[in-house]
Amino acid sequence: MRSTNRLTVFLRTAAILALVPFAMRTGIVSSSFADDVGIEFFESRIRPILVQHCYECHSATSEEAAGGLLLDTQAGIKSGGDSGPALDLENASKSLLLNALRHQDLKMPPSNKLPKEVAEAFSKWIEMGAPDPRDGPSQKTKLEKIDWTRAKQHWSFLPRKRVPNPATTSQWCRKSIDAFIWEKHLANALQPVPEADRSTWLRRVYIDLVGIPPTGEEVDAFVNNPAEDAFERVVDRLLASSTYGQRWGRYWLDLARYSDSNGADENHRYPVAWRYRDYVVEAFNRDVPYDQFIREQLAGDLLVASNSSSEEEQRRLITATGFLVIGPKMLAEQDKPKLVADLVDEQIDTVGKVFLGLTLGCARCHDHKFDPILASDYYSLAGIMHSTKSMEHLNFVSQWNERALPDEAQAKKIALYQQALDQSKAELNATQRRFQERSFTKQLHLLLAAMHLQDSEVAANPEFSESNASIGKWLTILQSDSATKKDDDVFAFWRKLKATPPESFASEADTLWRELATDVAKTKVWNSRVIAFPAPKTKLELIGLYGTLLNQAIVEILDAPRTTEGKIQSKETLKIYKQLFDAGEPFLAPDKFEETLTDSEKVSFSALKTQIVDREKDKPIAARAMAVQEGEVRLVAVNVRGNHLQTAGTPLARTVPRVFREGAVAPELKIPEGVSGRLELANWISDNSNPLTARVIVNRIWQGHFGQGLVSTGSNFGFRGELPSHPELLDSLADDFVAHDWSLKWLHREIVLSAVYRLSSHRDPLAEATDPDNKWLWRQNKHRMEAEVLRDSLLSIGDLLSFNLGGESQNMSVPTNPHIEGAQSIGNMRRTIYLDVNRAAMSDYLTTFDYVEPGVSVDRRSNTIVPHQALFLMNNPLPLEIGKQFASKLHAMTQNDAERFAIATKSLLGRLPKPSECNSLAQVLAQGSIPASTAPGAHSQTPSLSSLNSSVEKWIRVCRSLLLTNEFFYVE
Amino acid sequence: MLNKISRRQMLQNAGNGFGGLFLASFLEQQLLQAKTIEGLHFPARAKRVIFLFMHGGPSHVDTFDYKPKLIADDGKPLPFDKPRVQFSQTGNLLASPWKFKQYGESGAWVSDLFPEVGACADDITFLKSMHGSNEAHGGALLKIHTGSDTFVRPSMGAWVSYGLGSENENLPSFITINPTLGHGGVQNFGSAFLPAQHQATRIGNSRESMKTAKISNLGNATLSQTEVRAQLDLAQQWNQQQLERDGADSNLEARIQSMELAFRMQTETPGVMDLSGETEATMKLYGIDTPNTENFGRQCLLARRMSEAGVRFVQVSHAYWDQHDALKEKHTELAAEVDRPIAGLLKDLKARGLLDETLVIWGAEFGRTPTAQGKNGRDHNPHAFTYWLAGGGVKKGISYGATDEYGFYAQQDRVHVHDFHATLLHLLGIDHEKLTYSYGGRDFRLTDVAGRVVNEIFA
Repeated sequence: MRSTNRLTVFLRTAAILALVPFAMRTGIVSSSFADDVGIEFFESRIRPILVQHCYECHSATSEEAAGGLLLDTQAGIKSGGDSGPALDLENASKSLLLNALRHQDLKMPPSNKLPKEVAEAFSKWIEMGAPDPRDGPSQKTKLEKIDWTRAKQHWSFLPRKRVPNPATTSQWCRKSIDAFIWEKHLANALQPVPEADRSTWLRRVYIDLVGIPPTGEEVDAFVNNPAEDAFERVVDRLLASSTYGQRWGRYWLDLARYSDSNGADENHRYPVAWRYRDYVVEAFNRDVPYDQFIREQLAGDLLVASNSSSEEEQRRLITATGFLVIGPKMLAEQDKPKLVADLVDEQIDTVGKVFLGLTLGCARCHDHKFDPILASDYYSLAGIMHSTKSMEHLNFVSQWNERALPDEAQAKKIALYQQALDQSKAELNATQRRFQERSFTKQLHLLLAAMHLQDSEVAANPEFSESNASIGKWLTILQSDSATKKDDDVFAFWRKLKATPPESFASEADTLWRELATDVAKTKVWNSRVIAFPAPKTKLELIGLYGTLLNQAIVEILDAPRTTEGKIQSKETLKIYKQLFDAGEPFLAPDKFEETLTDSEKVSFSALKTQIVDREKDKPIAARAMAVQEGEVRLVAVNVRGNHLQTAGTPLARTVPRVFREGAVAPELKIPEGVSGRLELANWISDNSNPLTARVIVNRIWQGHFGQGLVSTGSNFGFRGELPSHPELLDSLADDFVAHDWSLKWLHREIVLSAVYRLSSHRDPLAEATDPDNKWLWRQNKHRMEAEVLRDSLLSIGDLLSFNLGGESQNMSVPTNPHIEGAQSIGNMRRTIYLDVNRAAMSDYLTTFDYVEPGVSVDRRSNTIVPHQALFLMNNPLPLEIGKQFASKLHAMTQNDAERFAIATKSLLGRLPKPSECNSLAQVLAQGSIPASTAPGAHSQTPSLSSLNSSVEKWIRVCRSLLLTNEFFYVE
Repeated sequence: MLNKISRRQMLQNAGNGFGGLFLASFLEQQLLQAKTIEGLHFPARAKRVIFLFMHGGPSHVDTFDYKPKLIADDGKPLPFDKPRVQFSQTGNLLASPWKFKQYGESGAWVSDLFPEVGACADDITFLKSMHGSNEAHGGALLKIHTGSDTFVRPSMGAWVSYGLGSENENLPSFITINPTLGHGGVQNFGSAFLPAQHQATRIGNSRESMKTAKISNLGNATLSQTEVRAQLDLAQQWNQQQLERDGADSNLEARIQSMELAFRMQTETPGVMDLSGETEATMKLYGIDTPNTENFGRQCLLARRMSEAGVRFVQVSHAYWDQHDALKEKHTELAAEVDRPIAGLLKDLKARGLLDETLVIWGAEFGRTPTAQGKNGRDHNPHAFTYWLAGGGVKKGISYGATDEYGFYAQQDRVHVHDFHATLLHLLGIDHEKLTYSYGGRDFRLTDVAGRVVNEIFA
């Protein structure tokens, strides 16, 4: 098949060659001979290929010049495209065009690699200096994508424009926000719907600010509170509560792509990611000014250096930079420079989207397609991240960076602990050593005694009598003629000399010693040690020699330096060890010394061991956090098409994108020598005059309260983003926000106390006809409970929710308290923000309810309605258990069904019952007590109200049904 | 007639406010009912996909890519350069420990590891020049499943679900059976930025036996269907009353519908998942009667039942083909677990007349090196591997593309992962360049900015 292709190409080329050449030369006015040859070569070999294979995508007539590259003029081919110059006249073989034709890094034409003869022809042509008669003007200007004048005028790149609040005497307005909203209502002839009733507002503001609904009592208290500042009091109370940070911290974690594991290729756990999560929750609760919050996350470690902050503050600041480390990485990527390039890309992309609302990451492979961000802008920023240490190492499976958190008190505690532990261990070792020596000495005594046994003195000692089992073992060995080991047998000398009569002993031993001296191989450690001594003259001396050598050996073994795994390091010592203690050897190994202990020794020894184990259980840990630090300064050049193996031009100075450098608004960014530039970047982003930063965060908070931002594309304020619906409001609010020291709590308060926030979410057909998307906010937007709100609300209704702050991430299904009723169904009772977020094994629960994809920054969760959500509420043990427990409690509280129902609707829906609901309730309660005809789990295709046995069962049905209603599931 | 995809985009925009997506997908459901073949970009050659994913990377040179020269040059050094980036270092060439023979009229060479699949060779198109870009499992899995080993992207099943919707509104459109939760885990079957209904519904995971694997929350142990229905009825009464009180609201109406759909799923799905109605002959065909093939046999049979019931994309996973050593022993064992069930699936689909409209795909995240790791192992090889396709509009009994003489690099008619995805979508009637989703200021597609449709394999 391939050869056919090749043939076709050749035939086609040949055909074109026959037709084209001279016709094309008419435009040439004067030319030297060399030029002539070159041009002819171009016409015959190059132009046909360009026309046939390249012009479709790379000429003035193509829809869009792919990669910004035009090949239909001399100027175009010489100036190149997004990836840099197409030709390298100095070094022809390095030309990008050839690279592409050869299908190396670039592959052109993409689907059809041309025969290598074509690439050779091009190579030759470039070596000739790329003679090209197509000297018309480059069409490139026509295709220039960035109109800088226009770019700098883009609304979000301009300074905030403060206009006076629209003048209004409307009674409707409560806050300055409302004047702007009112103005648009007026302009669009919209009548806003009435304000929601107090109970609806209360449930809304509870769920919005702290993520759980008010209790029945709280509903009563607020609805009946005549105080003028009742609304303000609720808001202030909620904002002051630490549950606020648990709610809004989670919004930030969505943006920060928080997770407890790496995901990507190797889903390693991030064991201390939670410290960053806790940092965020705390920052929201403390209302850390947002500009400061930015600086902390990008350069907290560098803020530490610049001021004399307390240790606690230092820990907080270092932990904050977890923001840069917590993204997913391809840890097992073996192309390590690519791993780093991808990591930097992930950081730039996230920083751009989160803080600036700009999709900077789009400029990695080419100039941004829509925004005025050049590839060179991207690589200028990349230099900052490349100069930052985010990885601990780049080994086979690479490791992200973690840092120890400063804590002197803890360090002291650790030192004390270590000292005590070392002491206990030393004590244990000394004791153990004593027992081991004792055990061996005893064996040695027995052995020597067995050797001496003919000696009457020894024989008289009952401990050493033949009938003693311990000595019997040695006798058997000593009397046997077969060696226990083939090689280097410890008892070989004994066996050879044991029967030697005293008179010839000296000479036989001497002979034996001499034989061995010539024979002994290096490996025979034991033998060589034996013959290092003079040959014994008597058996007694031989026994003495054994005693000496074995005593030496045990000391050597017990004192031997060992590897971390406990293996004896010295080969020779190890060999001796094996000679004496390998399985089948007569000596009891030192590590089995416990067999030789008396009962009381056993007790005291194990007490020593327990002491150590107990100490280790309470080991104080040096806290670590995922964090960055300054790395080696490394500037990068543009990576052509995002390919790190192919750079164009020189490494770029670190700076912000050109549109900001040349625009009038943003502050300057200057990076001193020797630093990464993170701090400077953070200061640049968080500067009061940065046109994007305040607008972006104000819009996010607005979106959190209305379900839609004033700019509906929260992380894209670029050309492809939506324009603000209320630009004056956005600027005014952003300006005031900055003036209020970037206080998020101030912003929340302004919003939730406004008239527009108070509006009902009911629809009005007239307004709907004019503004179906509610762009002008003539009503509030209903929204579905997020995954966190639903689960936290269920637990809170059951009075089971823990409001504890912080700590390691939790397993959703492991019961916090296994002893309570329904513990297995309820599982963990911590707030959902504290559940483990495993990028590769997301919980079904979370994904069903549109949790974020935690590998990327998410500015707005999807809001799907899928059957799996209903299945969860219908079948999952948690809602079923909550419904049941709530019903039982309700049932026990009062005998009065009307009261029961009122408590139920207040607790679950945040309001009193409606008459029609009471009718439905009456139907359920009126059913007789007929035995249920269907067994649990039975399938029935004809559903009808089945019979319930008791009043409490009826109430269980009622409560579970309430949890299934839209009104429970939606925040109105 | 409105082009279906642009209609979808319109619906997507309509649904961009709170909650509208279900409504969108509900309206789209109506649209699908009425949809004719012209609604797609091309005539669909296949309606559904069953993807048999062999996690770990089976060795192509020991299964379907016969390399006589590798046998001849056993033990010799590779006569050309190894790749710049390798997962591990490998040594000299290692001949396949298995014999190859030719099967059927097509004469396809298949090793002794797959005799039963070999016997089906006349129904199969082998793609022998597949290549990807990532040499580690995680990256390669993500590449195959989502097209990207760099960014979080929707999986191909999610794209198919997004592009085609469901054929059976009571069942999910994308199901994955016993997937691995490692190496990218849920991302491999997730919907990323596509609406959540397009993520796979998961049945079990790789550590779970097929006998106990189930869909979560599809029923409960304590309540009868009747009681669930009764609770639902009461809730729906109240929901209705709320609508009457507060006025119409499309989101609330959509949720009312979705609860009814949930109840229908709850009543219908257990029947689809229940294998007890299958004949003994069928169970045998899939190897469910034999211990070593039982688990995968169940997966394949379930896949057939799901597919038959209208699930667009069913993925079945088998693990763990990562033989850096013990190649001979482990490949023998693993192949024996899947050979019969896979052949059973192909025969069963064919006998039921379903093979023509069902595209069965067999493959992994990469292949393995023809050079040895240790004495009896092979390293990862993203530079060449074999996929095969059967049914659903592909040619029968052909082989497309080729590796070099040892099988290290895809050489002739190379098919990149992006090309494979483009081809897959094309077979389903979708132009991969037109199936886009706008997110974060950019239109995304499964094939990124690449993808060549391999027309040559179309029947």
